[in-house]
Amino acid sequence: MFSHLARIERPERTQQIDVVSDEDPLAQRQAAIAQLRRACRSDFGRAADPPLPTGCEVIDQALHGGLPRGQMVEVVGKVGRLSLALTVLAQATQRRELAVMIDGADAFDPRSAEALGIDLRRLLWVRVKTGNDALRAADMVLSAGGISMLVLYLVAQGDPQLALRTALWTRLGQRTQRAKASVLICADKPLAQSFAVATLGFHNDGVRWQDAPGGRGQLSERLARIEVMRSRLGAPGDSQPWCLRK
Amino acid sequence: MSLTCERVACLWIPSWSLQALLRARPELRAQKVVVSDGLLPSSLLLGATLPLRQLGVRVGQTVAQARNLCAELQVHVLSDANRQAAKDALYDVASAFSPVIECGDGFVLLGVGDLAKLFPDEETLGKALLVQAESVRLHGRVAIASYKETAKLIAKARADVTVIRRGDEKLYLRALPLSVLPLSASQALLLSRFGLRTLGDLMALPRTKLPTRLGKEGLRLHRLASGEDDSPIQPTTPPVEVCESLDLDEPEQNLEPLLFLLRGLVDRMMARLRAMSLACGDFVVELLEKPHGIRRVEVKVATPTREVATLTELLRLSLQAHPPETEVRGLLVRTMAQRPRPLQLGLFDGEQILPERLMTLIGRLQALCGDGKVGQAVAADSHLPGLCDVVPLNPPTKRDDDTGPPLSPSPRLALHMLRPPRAATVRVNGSRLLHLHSDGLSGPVLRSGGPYRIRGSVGNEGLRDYYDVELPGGEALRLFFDRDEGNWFLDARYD
Repeated sequence: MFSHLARIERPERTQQIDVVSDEDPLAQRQAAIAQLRRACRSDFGRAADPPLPTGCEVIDQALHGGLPRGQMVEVVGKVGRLSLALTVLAQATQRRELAVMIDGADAFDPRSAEALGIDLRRLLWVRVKTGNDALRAADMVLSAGGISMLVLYLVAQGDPQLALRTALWTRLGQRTQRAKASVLICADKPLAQSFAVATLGFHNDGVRWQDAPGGRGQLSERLARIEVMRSRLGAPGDSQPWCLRK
Repeated sequence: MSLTCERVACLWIPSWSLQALLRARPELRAQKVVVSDGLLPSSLLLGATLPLRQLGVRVGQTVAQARNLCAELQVHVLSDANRQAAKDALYDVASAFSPVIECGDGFVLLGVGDLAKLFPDEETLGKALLVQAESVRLHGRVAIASYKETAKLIAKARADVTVIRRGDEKLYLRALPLSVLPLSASQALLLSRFGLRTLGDLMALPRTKLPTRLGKEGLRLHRLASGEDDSPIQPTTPPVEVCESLDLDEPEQNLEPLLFLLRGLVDRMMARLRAMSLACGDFVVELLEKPHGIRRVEVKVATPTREVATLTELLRLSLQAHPPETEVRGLLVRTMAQRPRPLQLGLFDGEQILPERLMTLIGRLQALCGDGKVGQAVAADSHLPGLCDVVPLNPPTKRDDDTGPPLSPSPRLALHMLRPPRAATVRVNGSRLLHLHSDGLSGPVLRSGGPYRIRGSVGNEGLRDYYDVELPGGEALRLFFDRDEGNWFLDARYD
């Protein structure tokens, strides 16, 4: 029953051994727990980590369960990208995990975020100036480890060469895999392309209004259509409607 | 205030001045170095390293005499900062064992009468004291006795740990040389003329006749030599902050060598904090610039830590952002000791980022993005929408029993803020918006909602009328009319 504990005593049998500094007992304990987890997984045959649900049924269906761990997912289009990003971050912070948003457009609004349920105390907001800086920041975040959700918001980025920086995207893909993080990239057009496990296209489907007191009118809903442009997670289905209430 | 303790331990640091210097400059240990009370040839030596002692250099010689024995010796004078840092380190060592501490130059006395439950015997306690002193790079000797002066005299003369039972004081003191007593030069000369060599010789003199030859001081020396001085421990005020400093032989401006030296200072600071079971919070680095300037760099540490690598990395990032402008002639690091933040790890929790790594990550991101660009977003204290501030991120631990805001049951439309708001030109017919033109955006307004009037704060300016508009192609935007300025601005996009 306790064979996994015996494996801790014989690190040569485990596949991976964490290297930590001698002076940091906390890091040593964390490495021991990580090692124990790996031993448990290998002994009890646990499958790959389950995907993280996004909180949007339509998106979860399109991604066959949610955002896969250790992979990048890209959403492109003209609508719904920030709404999805904030919903995903809200889910992560509600699980009491630390999430990171790298904001290339300085577009984050804390009031909208709190209304969606984001615990701002568990969200690291990083404002970058250029797409290159955004990729470098993402690299730093993933290298640090311990971050389960990273949103890379690259909407309205003026750098047309960003999609061509294959070396950076390759590196980012490897870092994501190693960190077992879920990375959501939001952009106007595909940037990560084949380095992402799936690319979703969000198309505009109109706006709904409702009457407000005084006959002033109020924007009530925004409609979008979700299309799986490319996916390695499974067969892409038909495009699905998505309604976003204000 | 004075306290009486049944048992007193004395930790004595031999060659105090030399050890205080070598603690700050460990690279000098293998070199031919003397510490003196001045740089003149007539200055007296306070200590010499082993290579010089092997050549015959001794404490008490003059610099000139030492130079005769070894021409290439280096003469150092111990700075006040280094002396104080070593003294504080000695206090920190003692504070790990007892709250009753009297600290002086080269020794510390502590009341250890009630430590029987923690240590099986006094010898083990003495050894633990020596190990703790080694951790702050001070090599000492320990004596434990019933009287503080007895413990001090024996610690001066005997190596390692000596435990003196009550009543055995005279046995140990008898053989000690007179030089262990705090004698003035004239007293030492007088006693040697009397033919006295050991404390036993002094002890044998009749006490009643001593005042006629040696005065009142003679009686005190006799009581000391007999192990009868029962003066209590005079507690020393604990140091307010942990401070380490270094004077550079050659001024330096390049960051890398300075960081190398600063790492040594941080290392020493952490050794002292570890001795007290405390950690380092925010700390200040002072660069003493030529000729008389002081450049202060404050390093923010989100969570108290003892990890030298993390602190050094934060220091590197801070100094890269604020590099020295001129050559630096000295370095100083100081901090207020703080309690370490406990972190409970769980087997069934997901992987978490360690607070130290998070600090380093935020520091690196700040170096990349600039100040005020990384942290926790908070809504600004205003009724106007879209305004926000950034504060340092200090996430609660996973096990904290607190909850954030309630999760929205379904995805909601988010606002993509446009910062700063873009100037716009809007054609209006009465209260209807007809056409919008802004940077890269132009078209007829298909439908609009509003106005919704909002004032920034009561009594202040900032009265705005907000509108939602729909443009051809399904673009949904929020814009406002600034009533104070009389201009239109594009504020956000519904994404």
